[in-house]
Amino acid sequence: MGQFGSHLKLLGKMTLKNKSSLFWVFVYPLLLVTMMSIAFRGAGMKLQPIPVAAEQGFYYTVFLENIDMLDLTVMDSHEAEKALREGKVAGYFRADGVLIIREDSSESRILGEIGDELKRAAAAGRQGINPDFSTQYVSIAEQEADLLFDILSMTVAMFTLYAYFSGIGMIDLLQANLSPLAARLSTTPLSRLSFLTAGTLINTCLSFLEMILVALYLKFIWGINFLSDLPRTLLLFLAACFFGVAVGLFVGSSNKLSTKAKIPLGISIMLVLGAFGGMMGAELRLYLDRHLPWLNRGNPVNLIGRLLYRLNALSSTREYTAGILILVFGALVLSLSSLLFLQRRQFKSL
Amino acid sequence: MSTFRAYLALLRKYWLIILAFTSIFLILVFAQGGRAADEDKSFSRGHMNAAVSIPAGGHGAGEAFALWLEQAGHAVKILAFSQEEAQEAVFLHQYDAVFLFEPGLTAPQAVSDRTSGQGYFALSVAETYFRYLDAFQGQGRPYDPQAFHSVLAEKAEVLFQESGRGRTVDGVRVAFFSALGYVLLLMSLTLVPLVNQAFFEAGVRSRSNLSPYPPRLRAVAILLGSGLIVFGTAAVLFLATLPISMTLFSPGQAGGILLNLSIFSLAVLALSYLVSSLIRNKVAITAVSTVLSLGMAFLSGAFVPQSMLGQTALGIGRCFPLYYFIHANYRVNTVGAMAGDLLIQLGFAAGYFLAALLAARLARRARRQFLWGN
Amino acid sequence: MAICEMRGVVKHYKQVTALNKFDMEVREGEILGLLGPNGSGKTTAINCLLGLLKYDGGEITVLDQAPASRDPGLKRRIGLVPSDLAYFEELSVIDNISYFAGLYETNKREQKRMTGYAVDFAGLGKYRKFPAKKLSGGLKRRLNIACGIVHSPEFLVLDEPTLALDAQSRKYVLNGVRELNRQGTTVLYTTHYLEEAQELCDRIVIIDEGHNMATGTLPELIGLIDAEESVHIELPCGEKEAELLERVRSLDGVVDLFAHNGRVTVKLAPPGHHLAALIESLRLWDIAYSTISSELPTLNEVFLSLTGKALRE
Repeated sequence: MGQFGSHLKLLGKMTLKNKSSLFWVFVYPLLLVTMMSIAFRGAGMKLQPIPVAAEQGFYYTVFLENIDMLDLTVMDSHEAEKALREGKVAGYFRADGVLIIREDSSESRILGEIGDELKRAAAAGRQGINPDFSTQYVSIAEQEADLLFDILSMTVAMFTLYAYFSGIGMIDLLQANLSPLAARLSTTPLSRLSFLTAGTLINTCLSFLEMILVALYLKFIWGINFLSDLPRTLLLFLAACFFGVAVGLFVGSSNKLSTKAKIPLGISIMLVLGAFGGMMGAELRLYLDRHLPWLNRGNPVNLIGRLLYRLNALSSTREYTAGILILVFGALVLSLSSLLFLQRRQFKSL
Repeated sequence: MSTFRAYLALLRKYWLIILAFTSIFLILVFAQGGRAADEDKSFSRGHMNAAVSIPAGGHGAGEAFALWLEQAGHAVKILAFSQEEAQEAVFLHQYDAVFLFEPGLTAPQAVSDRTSGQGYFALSVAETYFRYLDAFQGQGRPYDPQAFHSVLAEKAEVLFQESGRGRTVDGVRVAFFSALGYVLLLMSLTLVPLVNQAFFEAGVRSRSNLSPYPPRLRAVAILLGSGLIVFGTAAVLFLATLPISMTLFSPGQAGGILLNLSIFSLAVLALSYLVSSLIRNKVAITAVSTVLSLGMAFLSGAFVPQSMLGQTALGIGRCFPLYYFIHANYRVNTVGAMAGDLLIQLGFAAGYFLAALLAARLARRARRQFLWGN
Repeated sequence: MAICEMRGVVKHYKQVTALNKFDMEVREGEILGLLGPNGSGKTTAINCLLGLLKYDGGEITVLDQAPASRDPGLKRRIGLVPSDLAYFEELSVIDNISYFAGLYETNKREQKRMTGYAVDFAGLGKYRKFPAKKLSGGLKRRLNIACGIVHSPEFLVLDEPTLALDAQSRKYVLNGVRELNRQGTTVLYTTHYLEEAQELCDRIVIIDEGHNMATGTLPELIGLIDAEESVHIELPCGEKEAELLERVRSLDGVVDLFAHNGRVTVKLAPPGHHLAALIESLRLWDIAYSTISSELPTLNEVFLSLTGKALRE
């Protein structure tokens, strides 16, 4: 217990006294989710009633009045033209049934579909076919496409992997060629296994604590609930933070880049992985899903984010156990590999 | 010139950051793809992106529906989904709707977000199909598939009002240049303060002040170096991706795009210079550049169209030059349409430069007081 | 008994040979100085013998083991005070020292005792709670030393521990090193300050361009070169200057002689010291002097003679 206790105390104190570390671990995630919540709140393609005009004498005015999605006004052609030019209506139906629009938009496309429907009804009527407009043929299972939740899931997932930086920091203290302090520590009877274990424990816990803080902040300040399935989500956070530390240990120990290079590299990689997962909008992820599906399969941000929204937005535990096992097993493999890399004690230059 | 040479030497040290951020941009660009701008002025009817889930043994009605959707110009994928999978696919915007066909049932269950335009559209298309199918198959007459399909193919005449446009927005072009704007901001806000900071180290500054090298000349050289970073980055990002981006705009729009980019670069230079005047700590520089650039990007509509952002976000976004850069990209057809946005960006540039000069003057005064006071 | 031996050690970097068949032996109980200009290979030699650097040829043993040994027992017996400050900046003085104590000793009481000892040794009693980064330059160096000696090592390596220190702090450090040596610690002390080496070290190794140029006590090293002794005689009001010059010129072993403003400098050939003899001669000649002093060859002259360049170049 001796050295392990010293290391726990040391690393805990160092993290709490290091302002830079505190910023990236505790402050930055809260700042980013605040900005994103402001940005995407009220965003999306929520349909509002479409303002439309019908020229006096349009045969199907009554039909249009019965469509809830439309905000219909009957006016003469001159007024309708003016209203369209000024953007007060998305389109108007002329008396002869022609739809006039100003621009190609989702609203005008819906109006176009309604116009087509009128034509169909007329064509069917001519053939003596009377479709039943009072029956609903297609049963609907509502599923909200929540852009904000989707993006935040990936962002929160990215944050769990920010424990990467603490992993890098630990290696900075263990490899003699990375810092004078590491060189000194290499000459002491310091147990690397004990140091790494203590460091992994402390940093995983701190990161985990931070994730709980972010989740609580989102829930109580922004009303976005990532704790619907509390026990599973907490376990996911823990596994993900552990994985993040392990990635940092592996990247830190496996190459010759300096710490100064590894940090911006880590930031860039996290941003890219987050973008691939949909943190910067669904388009990129959709593109990858369609054309390069293998790319996101190995993306840990995508894996964690997917489990997060499944648990909390879709109430689904699909692939949960497999996901946790992948994260934990992956973390163990990476940690052990980094321990192997750290067996190297001598360097060609310091 | 020696200051400028030193500036370039310091800049070379950050090659890894330059490479990393350029890679981010290239990845974002690659994902946007080289979809050509659509100049067609005819009305394009709505198209859905749908999945039709058919059980393993097949489903006649489902297959017929999928075939009809495809012929009608919609994007259709036939697969086997559970309800859970369908819900996830809709949640993630993979599909506008997923139609689940079960054995023994003619009509599907549709999983969709009815509150969205595309979801509503998809549901109404499906409802229409099955309504008319029921009408043609029932009512005591033999089913005539040809008549059925010809009725479904009926289209209303849709015309544009005079001077209306087929596509007011080329979403892909705007998204492309928004990504460029974000990466330009990120790189400049990181590199300019980092390199400038080396010249403002206490020892270096004192030594420089004691030398006969004119301080104004030194300041100009540093500004030139900063300008090189910003405008150089803009030029490299633009030229490196020109094979893709040139498919997104017409020759007539090129002038507007370049003007907008140049003025935005000026605003970015001024902002970077202000940040470098205020913040001298390397760790703080990285933190500020990341938070500022990402925050601006989210709130200005760099990742999601401005039309999709909430009012609060747009209100805050209007405090940043990136918002006006993106806003102008929607209007690149004429300089006149962009004029307001360009002028505002110039205003930001002037404001940031003045603030930077003021910050530098206050810092100099504080240093003199400290020295004389001691 | 040799605590540490380096025989024919070779170390290449890409374009530079840092150690070129370098030999060195540190005997038990001594303070061995490793003296050389910047870039001569001192730190490389230390890093090789501590097992931090791979070397390309030769043999090294430290306390009868290979330096790269992972034996914690070996590490407990060695202490390092590197030239770069190597402690945790975020922690306080006491936290730093007690952490390093914890690496060598598991017993809490013993750790506390070791920590107290190191704090007192380094004179950091008043600064126990200070964050390390807020200490002055001299105190930082002392903290650096305290972290290296907390476990009372058998063999202590100090790599330029007085770099950038004022005279008072430097004296403090040198006294501390002497005290450690008195308590039984063998010390390898690298420096490029010849006064420190002269004052502190029992033996000195002169290193240049990765070679061991010479090893020995100070008199032995001085004896290697044909350097002259300089005797300075100040005459009151310049009296009898001409007579003195004439008489001294006639003495054996006078290599050079010059006078300026009543101050006469006589350069006498080695070996040995000639001051006493000259004083006696002055007495016999009845020539009064206000001051007389002797300047023996320094290490700088030794170094210059051996390498063709001054130590401070």
